Amino acid sequence: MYSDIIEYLENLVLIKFTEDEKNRIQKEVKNIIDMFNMLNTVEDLNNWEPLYHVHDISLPLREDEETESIDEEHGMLEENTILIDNYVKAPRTISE
Amino acid sequence: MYKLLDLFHSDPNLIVEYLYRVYNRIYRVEEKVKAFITLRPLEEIIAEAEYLIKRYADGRNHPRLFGIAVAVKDNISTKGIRTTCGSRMLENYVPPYDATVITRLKSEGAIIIGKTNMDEFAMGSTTETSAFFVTRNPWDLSRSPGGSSGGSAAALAAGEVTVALGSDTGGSVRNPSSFTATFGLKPTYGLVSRYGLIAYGSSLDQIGPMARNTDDLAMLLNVIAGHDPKDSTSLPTKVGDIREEMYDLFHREPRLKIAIAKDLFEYSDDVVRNETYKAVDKLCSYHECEEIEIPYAKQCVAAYYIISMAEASSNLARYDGVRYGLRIEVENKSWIETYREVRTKGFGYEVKKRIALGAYVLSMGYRDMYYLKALRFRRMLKETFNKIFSKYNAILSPTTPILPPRIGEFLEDPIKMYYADLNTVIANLIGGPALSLPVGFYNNLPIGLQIMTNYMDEATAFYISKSLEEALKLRDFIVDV
Repeated sequence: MYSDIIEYLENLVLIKFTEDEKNRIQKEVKNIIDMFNMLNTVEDLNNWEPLYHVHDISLPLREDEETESIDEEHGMLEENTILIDNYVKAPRTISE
Repeated sequence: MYKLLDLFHSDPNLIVEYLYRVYNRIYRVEEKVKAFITLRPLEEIIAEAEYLIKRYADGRNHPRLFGIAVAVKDNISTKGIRTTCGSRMLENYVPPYDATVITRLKSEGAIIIGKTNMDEFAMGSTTETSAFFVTRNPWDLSRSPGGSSGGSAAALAAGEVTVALGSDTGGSVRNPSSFTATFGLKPTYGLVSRYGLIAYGSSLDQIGPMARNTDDLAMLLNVIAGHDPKDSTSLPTKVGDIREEMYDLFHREPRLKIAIAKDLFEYSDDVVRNETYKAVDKLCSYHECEEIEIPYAKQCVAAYYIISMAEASSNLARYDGVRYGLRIEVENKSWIETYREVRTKGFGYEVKKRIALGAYVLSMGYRDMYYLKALRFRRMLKETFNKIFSKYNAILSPTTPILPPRIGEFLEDPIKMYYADLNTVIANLIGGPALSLPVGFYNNLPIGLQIMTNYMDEATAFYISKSLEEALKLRDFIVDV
């Protein structure tokens, strides 16, 4: 019943579920969506504005001042990626 | 921890002996408990300790956690120490920088001994969704220590470490604290910097201290709390000495108005309800208590999972396997192919499911129906609790409605696992603090009580925790395994 939703989601999030995982999620997804639908039992919900952030204060931005830097981006690349002449090897941008 | 710090203050060389003891204990119990994903080599730790001792050789101004061994949940970035988030995706990821909490711990003389097991990307309540292995509850090795900070809690209960850090998105500090008879706090959102915490649900996540007694918990919080310009959601307020504030209240003993969350007790298992009510009775013989109803309690779980899954699907989009993370052969592959393969191989089932459902509640046609509705509910809940906290100083409930689950029990029934989060998700949705402490046992299985207080009023939660700890003497447990 939910297999078309799952296939749609696989394409949307670029993740493949294995056959085992598909069987599992198909069993679980109905109960989870039923749980989500419990919000429909709350009265007058539309009277409330959505709350994206718990503190309704405007949070300050940093002053635009130079601080000591450890070149984190570059450090991260050196530790975790194969660099070729300081360039990252990436997949093709243009495919046939 | 106080006794240790006093000892180290009088003779810093004792730190080395202490660290040998810590490691001996780990060697003895770790095979059964399996709390650590990465344990730093003992030689490295001893070298660090010796450097520390030399640095403070003048004997003055010892830092606040001088020589104390700390275990850190594996979703908090540690420079040069592998940080996996319990996932194949980050199995070999070594962060080039420290999270702010780690910088603060180090500058106070703490020694990070290792990184603890957790549910993959903190998504779970049992530490079973870890891509590497299952952590066991020292109180009963056939049971889970809870999660997602299960490794930190198990390490504390098994006496492998003195204090620990966890993170809490919907109860991930408090749930394992409750299941292991340890103490854990989810601080006010914004009190502790999230810089360097690998994100799950950004509007809900907080790093929290974990310990074996209220004092240690407060001391650890004192070190990690405070404004951080590197985290734009960190509150720009000055934070006082919470332990001092706690003791001030503890000595003055003000009578509080305490709300008992009736529904959350009623939904709990009988044994949990009975034990937690006993602790409540102790408090209510002095303080003024009233029962309250939490409107739409069960809907909190729905709102929490909608919001956390939505935020997760967005946060976890960053793992492309190109700059860091799981590496696959990219020759002759397009970005889409690479991205799909990396995500398919790198994430476990629970993570994939939450990303997919998060995308679902954000997708066209469903956003209004689910995501926005959950955010409207969140506003309503926050206003409801603002009213409650205008009348009461604290709200009490069981931390979890159940006893520690058997290993495997929840994997078969995830909905059951989600509902076990009912009592804890409220504090994340509204952003306030919540503390869990041990208040009893059933068949040698720990039961915890949760204290929720108003924004930035951690001190009251600590005051109640300290009073109960003194009354019940349930503290400093180290379990024989």
